[in-house]
Amino acid sequence: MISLDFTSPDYYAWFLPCVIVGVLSFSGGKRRVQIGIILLFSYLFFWLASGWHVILLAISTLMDWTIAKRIFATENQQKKKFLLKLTLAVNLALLAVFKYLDMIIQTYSLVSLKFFWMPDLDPYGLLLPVGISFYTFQTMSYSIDVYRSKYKPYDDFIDFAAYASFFPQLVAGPIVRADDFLEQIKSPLSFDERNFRLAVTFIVYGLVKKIIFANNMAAHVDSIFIEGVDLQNTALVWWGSLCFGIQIYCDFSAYTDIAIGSAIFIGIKLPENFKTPYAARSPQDFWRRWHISLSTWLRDYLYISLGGSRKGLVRLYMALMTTMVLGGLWHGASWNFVLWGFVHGIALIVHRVLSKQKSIRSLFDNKYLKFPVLLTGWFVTQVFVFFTWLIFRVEDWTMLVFAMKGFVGYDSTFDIASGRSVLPNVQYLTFILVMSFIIIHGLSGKYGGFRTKISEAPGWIWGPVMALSLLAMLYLRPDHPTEFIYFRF
Amino acid sequence: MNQTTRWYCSAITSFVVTLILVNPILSDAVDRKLIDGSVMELGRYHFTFEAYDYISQDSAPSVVTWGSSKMRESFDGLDMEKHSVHDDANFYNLGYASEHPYLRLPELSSLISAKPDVIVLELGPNTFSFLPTPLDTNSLEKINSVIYHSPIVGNKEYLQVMETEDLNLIEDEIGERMKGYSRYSFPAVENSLIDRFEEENTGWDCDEKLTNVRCAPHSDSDLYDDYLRRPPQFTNYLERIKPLNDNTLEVFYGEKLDNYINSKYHNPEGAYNKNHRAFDFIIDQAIENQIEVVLVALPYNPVLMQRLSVDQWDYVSEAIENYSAREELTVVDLLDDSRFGNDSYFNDFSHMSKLGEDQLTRVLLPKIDKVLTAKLKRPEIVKSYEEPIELPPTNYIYSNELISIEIQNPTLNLNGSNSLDEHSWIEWNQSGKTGLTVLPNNGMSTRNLDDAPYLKYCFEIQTSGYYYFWIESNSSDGNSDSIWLGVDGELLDTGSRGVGLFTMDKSKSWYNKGDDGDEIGYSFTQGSHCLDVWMREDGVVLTDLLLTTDIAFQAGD
Repeated sequence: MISLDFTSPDYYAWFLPCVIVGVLSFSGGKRRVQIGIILLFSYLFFWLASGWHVILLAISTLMDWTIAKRIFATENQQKKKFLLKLTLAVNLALLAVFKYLDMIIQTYSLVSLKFFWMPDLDPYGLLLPVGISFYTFQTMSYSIDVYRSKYKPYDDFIDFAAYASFFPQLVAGPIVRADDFLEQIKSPLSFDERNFRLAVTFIVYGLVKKIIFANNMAAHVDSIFIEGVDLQNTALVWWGSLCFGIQIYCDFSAYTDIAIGSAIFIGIKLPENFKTPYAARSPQDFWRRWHISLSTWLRDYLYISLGGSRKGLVRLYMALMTTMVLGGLWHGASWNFVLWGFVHGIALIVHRVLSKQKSIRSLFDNKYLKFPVLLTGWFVTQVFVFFTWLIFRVEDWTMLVFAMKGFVGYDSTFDIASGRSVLPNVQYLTFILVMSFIIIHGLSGKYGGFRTKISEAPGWIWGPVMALSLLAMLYLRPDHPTEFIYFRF
Repeated sequence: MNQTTRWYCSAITSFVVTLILVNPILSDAVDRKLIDGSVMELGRYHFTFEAYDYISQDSAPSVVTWGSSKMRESFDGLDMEKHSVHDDANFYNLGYASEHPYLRLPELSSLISAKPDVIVLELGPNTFSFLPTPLDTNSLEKINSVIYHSPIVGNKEYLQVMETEDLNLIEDEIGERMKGYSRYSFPAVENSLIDRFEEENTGWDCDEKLTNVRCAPHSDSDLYDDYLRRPPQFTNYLERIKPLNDNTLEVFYGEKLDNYINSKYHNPEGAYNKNHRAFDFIIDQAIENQIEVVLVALPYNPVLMQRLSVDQWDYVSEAIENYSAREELTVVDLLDDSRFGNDSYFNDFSHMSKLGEDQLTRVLLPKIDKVLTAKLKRPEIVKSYEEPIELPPTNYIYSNELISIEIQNPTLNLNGSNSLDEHSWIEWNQSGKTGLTVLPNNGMSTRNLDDAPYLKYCFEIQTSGYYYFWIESNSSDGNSDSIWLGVDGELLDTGSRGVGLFTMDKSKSWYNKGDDGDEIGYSFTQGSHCLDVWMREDGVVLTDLLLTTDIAFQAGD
């Protein structure tokens, strides 16, 4: 069976063209037909990507559609609450079973080792359905919004089903709000020449990030964080952390770019998910730039529900920490992700405390100190972010401890030559790519992103940029591609 | 034309122009830096395509050779040009190591497009050797790498000659070719960067004289022209090891040669296999395109030829006979030609030395010239070629010689002198075993060869070679067990305490190592030699002594 993702040739050879032609041409401009075609192809995409798990998507969709309708229809507040809890429970149960069951069992097994009377449980080894973390959050946000009377539920089931299963963002985001989506599909979708340019630019940009940057970084990362490598070599750990940071950003943002580009073809705009996160000057700033759709989702549906900043400092810190820990857990069924979230939570709390201090705020008012302070803030934030990427990447606890020690230079060496011997043969190219990334990322932040600017550039600039991008993909891609990291979430 | 149309026109035009302009630059970075040998042996795949372009640019008559490293090492195009009756003819050598006709198929259309007048094809055991179906990874890499670099539009008839299982693995479709090309270009870009950053020439180590066999100059290099006619050669291994006074030559012409002649690549499979089919296809296509074909069965090292079993290469002989019967072909059978009967014509078992190349030019060139004259329809030019060199045939007999020295019958037995004047070698007899011992056993030992009791054993060596020593002893203890050994009056270096002939292991009585732990051996030339045995410790008992060329021999078995 064909396996479809954004780097498969099949996606570009027939799937996307069929969607575009089907929606913009064969539909005859009829809105409902267009949405029906989008729905059909979305389920086809999901089926090709994840097989029988498409049933889970259908269950989640049907359930949220039905329950949201009932929530809207009933006047009884308690009944509304009950229905909401029901849909949240089912969605979270799906997540719990398919994503976290084995983690729960493994944790239980660690405990049961201590207590002989506890029965043994074997992990079920359930396959993680593609995109489950995304579409459950998406449909839950719909139900919660309807409960909060933010908008009324979708009239048309086809519209809602298309929203819940929209193929560009189904698998790895961005998480789209139902009202944003509905607003865009309430009129027939039509071809816009500007959209075509923008879409192609986004897709090519995304492919370059994934194929050239992410995959090349992956080769180095995979050779560093494995059993037997000396992770007390600070030089090696720094390099590994830097490469992983670039890999995960390029990988994830590439998916978003391609998703946005694919949607733009048929006139639907998806939200941006990244805003040069490595230009962030504080942990808070980082979370406004990284995986924006998730962080805003967590803010709107978890943090605020837990009290947010309205119920005092203690409640705020608890809400913040809970949000970050659960946000970390969302990324994967491993205590590493919980720790990662926890550490970020600590950082956010510390930042909040510090930024409230008059002495700190006064530094920003001093025109001579402002820039050095901002620079320091940026540097410290980025060191922190790349340090926490170790937690994200290195799942083995023993290795993680060594890596963390290596990163901070505790009981470690700094041996570049020895580090290089661990790396794959391709090193100079990777080094150049790392330098290029740093420069492009920095400039992109300064000038507000390159993709849109490239698409708006004159044809004699756009053409060569596309040509060079395609040639680079041809010449600079490593032999062994890696799957999208966030595909697993 | 509205703005949108103008935008798209300029975008598409600049897109295409960029692709066209940038591609040569990228090719330069990538092609030049593809690791020599990373895909083909010694970097000769890619250059074959540039070679055809190069060859076709010159309208002068041309002779092109195809073959394995044998052809590569044998055919000196520069020398051929110098001595050819056709002053304007070009002689190109496109042989490469580990070649198979089957794997050459994708190049065929390029060869034909280059319009050579004559092609010279190597005809030998490896021409018909085994190739697995489906092809192994290494062979697939070779064939696919050639395909990546071949013109997209070209004669693809060779695909009909290929096995179905191989066709499924050949990356001939454009998408597959691009995928394969990027697979090679990626490490090549890295190599370009390494060259720039580390100033190490990891790919092309070419000096002005093309001495490095790994050198593969780019087609715009000054060296390229010579490179196509006479590629860099292997070093002369035989020349290097012959003067060594150890067993290197014996091992080379012994065990190593046995392994060589038993390998699959160096033997015909014995059936009409895919290599043979491909070879016939190449011949037929050449003839169909009015290219004259000369098949050359290149000579092998005479020691190898002597070692072959009677019918080992019968398939090749039959093929030579069959091809000779075809009037449209010229077949030159040098496989066991007496003019190459001396191993000085060879670097090793099969590759020719400089002397061998000279000899091949003298022998083969007249025949090629004749074919070329007929092809070009020129009047026959009478020219005296250099006569073939005459060297005596090499008669290297490799056999496991065993010489037994009669311990009790030395050629000379001298008593000790001075402090050892009471010591002498006398007969020893115990439990049916006889030998010689030094008595009295007073616990004396000596380094003084002038005073020590002495035995000399003279014998004839029929076959020169490296001989290993095995000595049987019944010495009773470790203080009465050692001797000094020498050959022809020269002491052998066996360590500071000579040769010890005692261990606690009572089952052991044969010894072949000196005090230094090395096997005792000597390279004997044919003729008379004498073994010298001096007492080192009194009481030592010698019962037997053997000399053997067999490295695997174990005395006492």
